[in-house]
Amino acid sequence: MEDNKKCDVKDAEDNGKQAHITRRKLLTTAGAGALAVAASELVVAKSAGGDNSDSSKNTDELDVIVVGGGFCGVTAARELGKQGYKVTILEARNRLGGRTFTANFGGNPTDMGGTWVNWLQPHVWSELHRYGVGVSETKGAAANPMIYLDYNGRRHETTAAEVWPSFEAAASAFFEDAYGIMPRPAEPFADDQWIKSDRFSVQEKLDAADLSPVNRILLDTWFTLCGAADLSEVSWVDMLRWYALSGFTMTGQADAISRYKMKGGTKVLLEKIAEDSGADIRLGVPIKSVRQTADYAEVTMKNGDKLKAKSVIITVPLNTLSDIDFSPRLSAKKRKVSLEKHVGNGTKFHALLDKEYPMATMWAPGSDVPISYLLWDKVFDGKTHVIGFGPSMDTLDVNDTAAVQRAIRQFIPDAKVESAFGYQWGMDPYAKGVWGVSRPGQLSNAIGELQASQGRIHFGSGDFANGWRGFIDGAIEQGIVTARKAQEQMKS
Amino acid sequence: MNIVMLNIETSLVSEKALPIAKLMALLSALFMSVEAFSESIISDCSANRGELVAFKCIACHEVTGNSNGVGPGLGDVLGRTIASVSGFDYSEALSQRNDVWSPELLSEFLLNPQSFAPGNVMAFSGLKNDQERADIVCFFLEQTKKEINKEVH
Repeated sequence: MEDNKKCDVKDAEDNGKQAHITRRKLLTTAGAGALAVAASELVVAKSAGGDNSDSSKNTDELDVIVVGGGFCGVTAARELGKQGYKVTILEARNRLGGRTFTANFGGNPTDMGGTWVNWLQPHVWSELHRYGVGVSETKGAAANPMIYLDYNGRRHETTAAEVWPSFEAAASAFFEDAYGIMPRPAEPFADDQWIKSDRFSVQEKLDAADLSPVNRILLDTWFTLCGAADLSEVSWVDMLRWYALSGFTMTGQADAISRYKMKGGTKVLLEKIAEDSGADIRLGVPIKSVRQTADYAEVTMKNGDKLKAKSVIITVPLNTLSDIDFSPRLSAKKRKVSLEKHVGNGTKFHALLDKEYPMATMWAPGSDVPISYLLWDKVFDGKTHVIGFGPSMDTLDVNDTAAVQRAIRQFIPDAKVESAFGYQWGMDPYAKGVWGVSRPGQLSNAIGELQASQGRIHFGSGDFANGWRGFIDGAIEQGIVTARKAQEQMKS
Repeated sequence: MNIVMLNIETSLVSEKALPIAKLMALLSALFMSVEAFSESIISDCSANRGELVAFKCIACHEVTGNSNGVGPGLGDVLGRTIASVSGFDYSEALSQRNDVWSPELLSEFLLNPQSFAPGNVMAFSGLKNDQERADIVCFFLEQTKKEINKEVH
């Protein structure tokens, strides 16, 4: 073997020894943390109770099967379990959490999916109080320094103090008559004006708006961040709903969606709810089919196991609903919307930069950029942790560290990315996307049907919640609602 | 190239053979495959750089140990039969592969997991960067070396 072909396993690297020790510590701790995510005593103890392949044993005992162990599923299980119903949660992945997932990097709980919460989100905020879970601030979300790229990719620096008042006014004009269109944003059936108004994409509205160049850039960026898709596919009214839910201000919305996260990560609350449910939890059991008769409902897992219950609550993401065989069939509209999918399918990644950088928010408009929004999260051990969001898996391979570095250097020219990582929700067969974002005219014309029960089968997902659709809050809302529906059905 | 020999030797590991056989298989896997791997895939790789690449894995996998998390533990992945960790529920797609993880196969898998085992459930599009892929395989070779040291001492 020639020397220059030698595989260097002796850690002879250009980085100093100190840095290496830190990295080793990070990696070792992180591995243990990853284990803790999925293998909490709660989860393993429950899932390892392997005797549930024989459905006949449970036929007369089980009240409710909850399919999906995200926030919606565990909340539904908690609501029913606390009232004495016998509940089993079936989760396809080897962990709970759905599209939330707290990993542990060097002792830093790091949310790979849904993260931020706010007092404007009533269901999750109530749960934080119920279980005594605190929040910590993502200080970078409210940073005064701003860096933005224009449509030619040129870099500019400004401050929130300078541009935000104008941006707020531009958003107000962009959502002209928002209050008239959606006076009650958490009650989709109270007033149908929003449904009638759901005819435009964000792109169409942007193209028609009279905006200053900077406001155009910032609004384009913001909606691409929120829509996680090409804006020609994102419903303008869907984005208006986020604005309305935030008290009709962009300041409120920025705080609501990117500033306060759960201390210890989302798994802290998730595990408290799951534990409180008293439910039997089985992990690693994807569902094949759900069948119902006049007397019971039966769920068949892909491994062949079957379970029967009086009621079934399906909490899988909208984009995966049509992957389950239902008998009788899923309603035509549910199936159609699931097959056409919501459009949220952008990227979220974490990157560690090799030194400390001052906090800033970083913006880039358009659906062809690798990063739409880069958020300064924190500095630790002399490094900077940033969180990036992009419009598509096609514009940035979050697993390619060099590509991530090139993308970050558009904002921070001398940035050296030590590591970059993200969970690719669009690749996950049990997610098939990120948070739910409606196409123009899609959810407004289907939400009632998506929420409708079919006999003993009840459907809930944050993707078609009444209020904070696509958020943890919406998932908890739907967990509460579907639990009530199941209870009413079992009593009738 | 020693690829064929490597597979023959490492298959001993999957049969949970005698410790000495396992040790020999691991030794073979390490020393033969380092050469084969570095010559056939990329001329330079670094376990130290690979350690940083491993950050992409650790949300779901323990990379320096063998406990299962969201994904199976990877500390001893090289030389192990694919989809063989007890107590872990693998996808059907991966379970159908009957090979042993060699550096070459691991690299092929990491390049594009869906091409390697269509329908597997790992939410990972792959490591397209050749250097990063080589580095992380070297990192796992380093783990294998540590396993051997444990066996020896």
